[in-house]
Amino acid sequence: MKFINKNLIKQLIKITLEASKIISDKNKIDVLYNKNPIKEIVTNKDLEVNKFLTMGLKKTRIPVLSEESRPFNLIYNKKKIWALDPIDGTVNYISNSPNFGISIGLINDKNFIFGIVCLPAHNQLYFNTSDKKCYLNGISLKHNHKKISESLVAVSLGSFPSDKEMLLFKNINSLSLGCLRTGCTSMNICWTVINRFQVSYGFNVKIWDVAGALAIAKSSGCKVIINKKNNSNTLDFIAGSNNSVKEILKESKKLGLWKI
Amino acid sequence: MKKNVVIIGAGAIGRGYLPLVLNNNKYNFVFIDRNLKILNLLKKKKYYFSYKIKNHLYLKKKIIIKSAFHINQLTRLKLKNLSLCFVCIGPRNIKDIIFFLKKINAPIIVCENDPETVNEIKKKIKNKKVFFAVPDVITSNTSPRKLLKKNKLSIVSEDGELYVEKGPKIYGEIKFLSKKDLLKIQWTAKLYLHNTPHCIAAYLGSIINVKYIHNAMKNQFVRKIVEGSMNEMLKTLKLNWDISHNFLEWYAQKEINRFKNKLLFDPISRVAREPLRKLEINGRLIGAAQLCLYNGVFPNNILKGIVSAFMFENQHDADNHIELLQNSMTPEHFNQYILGLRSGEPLDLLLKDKLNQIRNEIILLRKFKKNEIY
Repeated sequence: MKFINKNLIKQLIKITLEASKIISDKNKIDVLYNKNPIKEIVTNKDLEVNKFLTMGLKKTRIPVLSEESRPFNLIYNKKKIWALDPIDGTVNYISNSPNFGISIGLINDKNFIFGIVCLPAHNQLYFNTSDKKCYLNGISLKHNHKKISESLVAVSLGSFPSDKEMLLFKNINSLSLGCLRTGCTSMNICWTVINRFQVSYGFNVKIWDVAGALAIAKSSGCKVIINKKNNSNTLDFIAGSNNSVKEILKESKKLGLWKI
Repeated sequence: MKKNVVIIGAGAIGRGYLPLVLNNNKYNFVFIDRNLKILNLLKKKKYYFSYKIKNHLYLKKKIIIKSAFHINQLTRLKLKNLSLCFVCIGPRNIKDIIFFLKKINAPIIVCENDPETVNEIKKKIKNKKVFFAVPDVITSNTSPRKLLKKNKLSIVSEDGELYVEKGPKIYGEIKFLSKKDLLKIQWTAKLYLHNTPHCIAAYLGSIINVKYIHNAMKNQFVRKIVEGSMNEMLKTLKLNWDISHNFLEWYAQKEINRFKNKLLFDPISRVAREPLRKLEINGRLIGAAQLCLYNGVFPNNILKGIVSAFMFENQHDADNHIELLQNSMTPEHFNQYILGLRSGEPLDLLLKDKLNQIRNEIILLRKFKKNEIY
């Protein structure tokens, strides 16, 4: 099923790559302020890219929900919205780690249906064109499912993870080939699609961090389960190989982290 | 008692060439494919004819079909008395058959246009009995109307050679080479003196809207570019490789004659398919141009081939979104994200500089009417 027309995809690719140019110019990066908690940093580049992409997306007449724009509640209840993270992994970005990206997702009736994620330092551009077709740099992608014992797991944790979340991390680390925390959720999910990881999960992650990447993951054949929270801009997710998702869900439920 | 040979991929090489060179008295042929049209015919017919062109004539060989299966049936398929398994399904599809290959104890012969697929399979199935093969041949995936009338599965190959890495025991007209010689001589020659000009002929043929490679080669402008790209590669290989120059020249001439062969009916759609795969960084177009530049040879004609690949349009092709990518990216981003070139490297600069000029030259080719260009 196609959700989005060709011309719109062309426009989105264009503006995302233009935005990647802004990020790639690493001159004059200023940390403007720290949000609460202190680990959440905002740079001038976040705001610059946010402004550039928001302007580009405005042409679609679909409201834009962004990490750098507010308020959440007024926007999230609309039928269609763009969820935008201008720089996912800002701490990595200012620390000269290549693990950061631009993430744009289209949410329709609270379902993630389209995504475009650009990882400029890795020269990677991911997008989907339907619920069954997604691409990395133009090459069609299909996730290759593996068991949890053969899986490398990418984990997204908030700034102050709970004891239960840390215990889950420990348990999954034992069940799998190992757990990693990269600091860029959209990259975790996209690398799960291409089997650099086999599964990724996160608790209390922001919608704009994952909206695009989860749409791409679904269209690659990854199993995706989401625990949306009412009137909140956060959610829990597990995405990747069938068996690995099942096992992580089982462990999460045991610890009372997944209540559905 | 005959043994079973399973052939995964019943296309040009799988259905056409392999049964031609394998000994029918020793083997039964089991075909696996995902093309329902071909599968239904394979299941319905008990046999078909594979034709070899020799001395400008078609020589036919009757191929008995033991059975045929869809790729989705592989999970349940158990093959007894299996002697060999040939893989010629296309490098992109290897991942879909790994689970089946894991169950096989017989030698697996990989006839893909990419030696890396052998390592990929070996790594994933943990079986050392995986061997690379280079079919030095052009096989069409169809045949002229008169042959199709006799049997819809009829298929035409040239009189080629099948080179297989030493190791497995195979009955048939096979030439065995050490892995080193196979890669150094046969694969190098095939990649750069066959694959490169062959796909350029196909992309240009698509621009002038003809159906077969030999039709494209009748056009003097196409022929000039194809022969030019062959010469660029020939010059580069002579500079860079320790391979007999006589062999390289013989190989190049043989290939040009193959492309012109009127009996082969080699479809443009087959040769030009999946342009993004053909534009891979180490492949027959970008890799070839890089190699030329590295050796100081200006790849004027190969650049035309690359740009004509960008312009390939076929709505049924798996890479038909190449047009979308072209139109949504600046040449700089296209080179960086799609071709994998580093910003500022010679080929990146050349493509950015010459893209519009070459594109306009190629568009001019479209203006010729088919009958005027021969």
